Amino acid sequence: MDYSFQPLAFALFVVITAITLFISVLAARRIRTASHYYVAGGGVKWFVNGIAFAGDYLSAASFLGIAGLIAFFGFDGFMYSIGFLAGWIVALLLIAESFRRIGRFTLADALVHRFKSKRVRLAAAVSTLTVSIFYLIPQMVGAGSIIQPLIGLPYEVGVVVIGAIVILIVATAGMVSTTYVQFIKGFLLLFAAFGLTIGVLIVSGYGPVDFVSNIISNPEIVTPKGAVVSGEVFMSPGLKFKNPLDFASLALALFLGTAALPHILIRYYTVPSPSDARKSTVIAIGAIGAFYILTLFLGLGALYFRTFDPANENLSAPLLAQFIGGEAFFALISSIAFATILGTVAGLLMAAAGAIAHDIYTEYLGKNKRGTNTLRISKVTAVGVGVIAIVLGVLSKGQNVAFLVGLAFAIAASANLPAIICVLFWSKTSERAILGGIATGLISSIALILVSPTLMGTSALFALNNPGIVSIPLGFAVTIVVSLLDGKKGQQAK
Amino acid sequence: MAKGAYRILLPTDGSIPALAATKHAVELVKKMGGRLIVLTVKEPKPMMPLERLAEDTVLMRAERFDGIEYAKRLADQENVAIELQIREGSVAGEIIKTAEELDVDMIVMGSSNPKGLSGFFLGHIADAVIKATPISVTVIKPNQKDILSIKENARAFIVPTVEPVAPRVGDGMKFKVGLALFFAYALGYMGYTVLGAFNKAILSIRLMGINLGLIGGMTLIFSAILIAVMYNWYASRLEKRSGIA
Repeated sequence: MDYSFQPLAFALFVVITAITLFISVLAARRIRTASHYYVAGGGVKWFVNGIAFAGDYLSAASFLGIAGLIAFFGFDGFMYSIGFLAGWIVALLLIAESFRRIGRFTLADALVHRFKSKRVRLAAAVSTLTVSIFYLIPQMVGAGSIIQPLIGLPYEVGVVVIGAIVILIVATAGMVSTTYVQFIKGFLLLFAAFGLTIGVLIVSGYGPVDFVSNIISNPEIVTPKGAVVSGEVFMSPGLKFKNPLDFASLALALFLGTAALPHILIRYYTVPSPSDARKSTVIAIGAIGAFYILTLFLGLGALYFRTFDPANENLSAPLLAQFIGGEAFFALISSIAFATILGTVAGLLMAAAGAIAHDIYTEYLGKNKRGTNTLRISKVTAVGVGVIAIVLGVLSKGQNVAFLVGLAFAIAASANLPAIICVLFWSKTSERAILGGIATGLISSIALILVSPTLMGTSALFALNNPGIVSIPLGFAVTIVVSLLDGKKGQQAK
Repeated sequence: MAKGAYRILLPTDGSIPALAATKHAVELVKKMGGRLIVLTVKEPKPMMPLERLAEDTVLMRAERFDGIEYAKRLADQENVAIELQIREGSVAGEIIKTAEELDVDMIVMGSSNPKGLSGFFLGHIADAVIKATPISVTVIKPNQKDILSIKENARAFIVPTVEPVAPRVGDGMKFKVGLALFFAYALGYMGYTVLGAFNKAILSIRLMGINLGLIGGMTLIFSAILIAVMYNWYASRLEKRSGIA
């Protein structure tokens, strides 16, 4: 599809984005500087945090990626919505409160509280960094995608320009108050999805169930890629995942990945008590769940009105907005997508910067006991990690952002979750087991992605696109077996 | 005004400007005779650790001093009557509210005067207080020499970082209920996934105008929300009963 510069849409985009950022800053300032009658006070901290969780979590993948996947592959795309939410049940019931009780800065802090081991710290930091980078790539792909129809710039230029702006905002000023950016963004995203859904239903003239039912009953659907299938086939599993194990692998990675994402985990430290951590998670589940139900209508709406770009799945939602509400609505949705990317990138860069500045620089290398240097190192880290993500984002042209995030989930679930679960709940866990588990999960998941069909096409050595179903059990197995072996050795030594 | 009735409110967060203000306020109360009211406001601000670090650096709180202890010691040395107030809420709002409630004659506070973008992001507490209160405000801005001398003098008041004690997790009724709910949900999710992967025909069955696959997916989404709300209700009730937050 050819895109040309749309001056009105672009001007609106800039204005709306500026207003959004300004409101975020204002909200953060208010809490400090406004007098008592403006401020809601202490009672809502878990509410703010809960919506901020949603803001952190609902990245470009959820908004741009899932809508695209549903428009292109029907049911298989919706599986992402189901899995992305299901992961929060693990976070709520197993991780949230326990995790809040221990640790104080990063994932590594939580893991070393048992072992006081520098090597565990280093492993956790490396894992945090890797997952953050893999999660950043799709955000950059999303950034490049939205700029295309807006300014008519080529994708690569879009990634570099928008990526650089986002990193600049985060690294210079944003570190002071990202929580409120996430909070505002979480609301905006819900608002956007709700508005688009209403728009789809009004323009199509159907009720919500009738709309979906109409698509299922359609005997001939021409998919964006040009294939002709019946509505029944489109809304059943199998269009994207030809291999059933790929479907299962994705489902497992999404379910177990959420609770192991470093940028989500560090947010648990922002609330004062474990019960606040739990309440925040409940708010997040409500907001995120509502959003994912709406994604079905965004995706199917893009298919129904045929507002998609066959070359770029990620544009389905913005193009749908353009069709329904014209340039103004298109600009609004694009700036919300931008705010979404900005917010998620902020959270990810903070997690990565924490790993380098706190875990590696301050704790592992034992340098500097004063905060100033840590802050400088974290800003440098943020820029460095951001640049890596931009380069990889340019290379990932044409990939669906939700698919890419699915890979980050698989890595997080393989490398981090076995360590977190075992440290929290199993007293026999040994230091070597944690090290081995993190290394195994990290290396196996990345190696399998490198030899997957995504990167090697038909000559792939590994048949599945998502490595989760192999690498997650492997991570758990190594952690458990090494712990048991170490336990036996310990008994013999006695 | 009669000597001895003068009341000064001193908000402190342990930052260097606040410590400078403390010194000034103690001297003032000593001269006028009266009482020093020391206020600390706890901010209910959900912040990530790096955000906190960034903010502390800008506001000159990089070394965390215990503002209350510092004021106590200083007041003790100078024989000044002191009263402590600890509030929770928005900083500026609580300062104004406390000043009005306690009917003080003056507020003495430090200004970190954060500059540039950080100042824009954080706002100026002293500015906000001056704007919104009818009470006189004295703002202390320490210069480079003051900062160095305060750092030297306040060394004894650095708050030690406390290593968190490793707690026991995994016992108690709440955890068991959580675990049971988790397994119930995991089972449902697994069943759905296995059907989606290996028995697509079942998910294609038409029902209520749509198909089983969509109904199942929606059910999983709604039951996640339901489980979250139920679990939270149960856990909050347990906490209320046992009195532990």
